[in-house]
Amino acid sequence: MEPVHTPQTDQHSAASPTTPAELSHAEALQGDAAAHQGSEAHGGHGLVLGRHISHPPEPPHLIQIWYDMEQEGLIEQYMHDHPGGAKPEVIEQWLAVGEHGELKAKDGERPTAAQALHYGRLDKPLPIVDYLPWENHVYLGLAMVLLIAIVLAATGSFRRDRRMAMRKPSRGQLFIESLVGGIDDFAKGVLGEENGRKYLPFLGTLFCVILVSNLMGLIPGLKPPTASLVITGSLALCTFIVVQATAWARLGPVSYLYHLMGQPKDLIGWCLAPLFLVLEVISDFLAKPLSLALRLFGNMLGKDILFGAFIGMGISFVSAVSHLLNAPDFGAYIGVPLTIPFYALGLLLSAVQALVFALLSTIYIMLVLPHDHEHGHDDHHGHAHGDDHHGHVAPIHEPVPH
Amino acid sequence: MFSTVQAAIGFAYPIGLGLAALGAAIGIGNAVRGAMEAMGRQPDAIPKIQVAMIIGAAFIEALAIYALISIFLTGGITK
Repeated sequence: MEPVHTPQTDQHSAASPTTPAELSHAEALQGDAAAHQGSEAHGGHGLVLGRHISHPPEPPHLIQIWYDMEQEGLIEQYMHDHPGGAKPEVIEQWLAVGEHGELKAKDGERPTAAQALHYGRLDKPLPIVDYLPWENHVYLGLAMVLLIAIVLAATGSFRRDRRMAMRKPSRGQLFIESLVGGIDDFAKGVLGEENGRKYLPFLGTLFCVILVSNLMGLIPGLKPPTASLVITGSLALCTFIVVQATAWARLGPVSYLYHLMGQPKDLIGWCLAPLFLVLEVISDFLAKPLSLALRLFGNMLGKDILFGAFIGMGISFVSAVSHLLNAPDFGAYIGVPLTIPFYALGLLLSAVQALVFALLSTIYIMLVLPHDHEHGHDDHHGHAHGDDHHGHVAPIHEPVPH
Repeated sequence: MFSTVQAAIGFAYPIGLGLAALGAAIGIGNAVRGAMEAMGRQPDAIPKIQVAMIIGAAFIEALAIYALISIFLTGGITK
């Protein structure tokens, strides 16, 4: 996400121009703005555009614009008052932009702190933050870079004596090793010895990427990429492709269809097969990927909105107190950190959701594996675990409800 | 300012969300109670029960999350 500043905004971001060059430039721009004040239609590009700001707005066009303008006929009134002017468009809900790029609320007053928080500070030039369609991908890339750095650091790749990492592992290395061991045990417990190893890289990567992405949401200034349906949908698509590819490869076309028909064994089963076919297709192709994607997305976005609501509440509190004390609005700069208790909740939620995503992916893979094969492994495996109590996750025989 | 439809949605959404949360709470409560009883009866099977419980809870929880998502996706109507 890259803040897009207008040229004018950048000029005014220096509250008091210090160098003479800056001063003269700012004055020239203001004069320019004043000259254009009468004829506001120069250039075809208009103001701005809902969510996406394709052209930076220029000063003469920065009149007050509100969400409600359309509804209340203010745009028509404006057009009547300024014949030949560019037609103002809606920027954001309550957002108004003054002539010099400052925020204004609907009545020409300053916006409340919570409103200003969304776009920047009060009385500061408007930092026009474009919600680019690829911002989530940037954050996902950041999560991956973080993950790679963590893994490299944990395996001692940054240490000068790499052999020491083998002999005397650091705490971080031990932690990562126990994590990998845990995922390995889990995958082997559910899928069996051989298949578990085979799917371990996929499941482990899924878990780690989602965990790091989720935890990024707890760092101020970062956004969890998993709070976007695009990213969670892609992750669910990965699981979907792996599950379907496994089914095709392991079962073969005929067994695959037989599996989709609910594995009918007697006449009644075959009579019900078309019904089961429809149900299984909906379940496999729609319900499973969608529920995977929506669960993660909803949890993460819900957590984000909760944080946002409490940040706004803390800022409103400070604003109200400074208003009562006739002080300047400190709420624009500080707020009561009401979110602190929710960080614990966020940690828990992030870990649980990453776990659930990986767990359900494992289960979905297990469900399409040939059953007799799996049982043979499970029996062998179960006995091995009965003897030594490692706290490993035992194999699950019960099918999961669709 | 607000149309009747918007007002109706504004009233109905919180109630619907509350009902969804209520149902999910009852479901998860039942699931966890059953799992706890099973764990108390058979401490050896705790890992197995825990995994099954988490899966079940995730399925139940998903329904409440769908209600929440419907608010995210259509919440703009009420503005």
